[in-house]
Amino acid sequence: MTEFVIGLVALVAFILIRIPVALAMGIIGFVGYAYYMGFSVSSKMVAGSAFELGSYMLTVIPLFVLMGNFVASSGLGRDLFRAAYAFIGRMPGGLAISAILASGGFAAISGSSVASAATMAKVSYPPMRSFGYSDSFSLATIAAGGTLGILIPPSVVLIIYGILAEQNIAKLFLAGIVPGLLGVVLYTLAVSFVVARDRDAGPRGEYVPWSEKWRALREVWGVIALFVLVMGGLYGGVFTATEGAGIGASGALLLTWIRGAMTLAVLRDAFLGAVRTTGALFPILLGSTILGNFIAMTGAPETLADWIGDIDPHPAMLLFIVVLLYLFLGFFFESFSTLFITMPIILPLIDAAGFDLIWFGIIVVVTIEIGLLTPPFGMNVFVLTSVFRNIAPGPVFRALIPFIIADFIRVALLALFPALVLFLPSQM
Amino acid sequence: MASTKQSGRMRLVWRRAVQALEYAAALILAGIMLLTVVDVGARYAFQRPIAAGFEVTEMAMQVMIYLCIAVAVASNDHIRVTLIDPVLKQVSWLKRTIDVVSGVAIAMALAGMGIAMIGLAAGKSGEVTLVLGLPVAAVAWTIALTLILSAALAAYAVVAGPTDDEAEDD
Repeated sequence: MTEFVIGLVALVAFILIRIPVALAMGIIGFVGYAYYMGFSVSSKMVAGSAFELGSYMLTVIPLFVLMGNFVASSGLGRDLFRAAYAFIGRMPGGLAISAILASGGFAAISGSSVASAATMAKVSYPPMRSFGYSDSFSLATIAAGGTLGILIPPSVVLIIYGILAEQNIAKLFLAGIVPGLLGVVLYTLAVSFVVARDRDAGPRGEYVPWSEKWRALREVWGVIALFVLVMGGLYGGVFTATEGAGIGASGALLLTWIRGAMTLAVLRDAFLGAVRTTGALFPILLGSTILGNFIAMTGAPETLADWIGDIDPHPAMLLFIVVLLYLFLGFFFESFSTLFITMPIILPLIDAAGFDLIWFGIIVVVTIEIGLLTPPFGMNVFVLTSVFRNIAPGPVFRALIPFIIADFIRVALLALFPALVLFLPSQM
Repeated sequence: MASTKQSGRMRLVWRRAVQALEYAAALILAGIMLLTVVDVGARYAFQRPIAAGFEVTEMAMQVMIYLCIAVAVASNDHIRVTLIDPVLKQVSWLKRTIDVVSGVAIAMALAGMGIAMIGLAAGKSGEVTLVLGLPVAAVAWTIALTLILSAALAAYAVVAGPTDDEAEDD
């Protein structure tokens, strides 16, 4: 246990002084393993882990990233916003609600929160501004809507969780659907709450005739087609998650081409973007594997599980502590790092406590995604304020408070009613 | 003057090398995507999936990941926690020192992994895949070489200092 604590303290210290997360995990894991088994065996462990890194199952990550890259270039985000606006733009706060709905739709075909926020910002911010929405409220809505991207399938974060927790990715995807939709509903209520308090915060949009509404709806067929193709195939057992990712990426490519948005530059950027994301993600996956081997050697997860068994806390209390921990970490670390660092320690405890790991994964992802909206490092806010440089992050963070409260309510609902998460996967 | 020209040429060669790695990884990714589609299509349309689809995908993936990592290393594209960045902005020499130390550590770690992978490749000599009988050691050798190349790129990134974009970010 002492070795584990020393390793953990060193890991946190390394990460805090800006050492790359993958390197920090790898070094601590390698040296710690060598402490038990010697440097020669530790080197073999690292080489073995590095060789196993390119497994068939992990192909799902670059392929879903590629799918998201194509979708971002396809212009579907713009059409989603137009369709949502056509139907509900006339409501008070209609443009903000349209942005939330469009983000939810976009999330169904893209797996990244930041990509969702960046894409939706381009299409929904200009009309919101022209109708008199404040900059901070507009960006807060877009930033919150963007977080739906990491929960509504396909989701790269859920894939990573599935790999780390050895859970079925198709089941995790299904489990994310209802909590994602719940997020859409709660964010819509948050917008309505803001507008109810201050009518000027969310002026109504223009009336759109029904002929225009149907035309706008027809334009988003691609989103539905792609979602049904990928999720239907996974749910129906037509293909595996890896195959689904390949089919999804090809479908997104085809869709971009059909919509006339495909150019050589779009094709190149989509592939090279996926290469760069893969290059940044996989070292952390390797570092996490090496660190996990060291942690297993220390026996700390078993000791902690025994310790918790001795204390025998109420499961709700244990869950509460874990959620608080992820909330805290979410304030400072981005989602991938948080998952990679904590999973080797937390998962055995949660498993020993008898929690369902699919349900727990969704709780963790929803909790971590709150960190995308909170200071000091709310990633979505900084992505948006880096695009719109004249808007300061401070007012956007303040405007996000209703959305963050909505997220807390969502975590509480999912914790209290696990069926919201587990019903769909149980049908598989 | 001559040294500036030489370092300019060196940077150009380095950039071209990184681009070549990037495009090679992208091509492999395109190949994996295509193979998956053809495999699923052949399975349902002709009841004849590609027999070695699984093992070819896995081998391609193993090589692709390390090409991607080489690109990320060369571009200094690492996931870091930037909690102390506001402080480091005031003390730029400290940030540079941390970057140099972590750059050297990355180069050493990659070189070490490359050497360990050579050992693993030697151990896999004679091992072949189940369906196509492809030599497994060839993949391990490719990974080892890519890791050593990545180490060289990381070392060069340390020696060359921050790129214009990184300096601008600072």
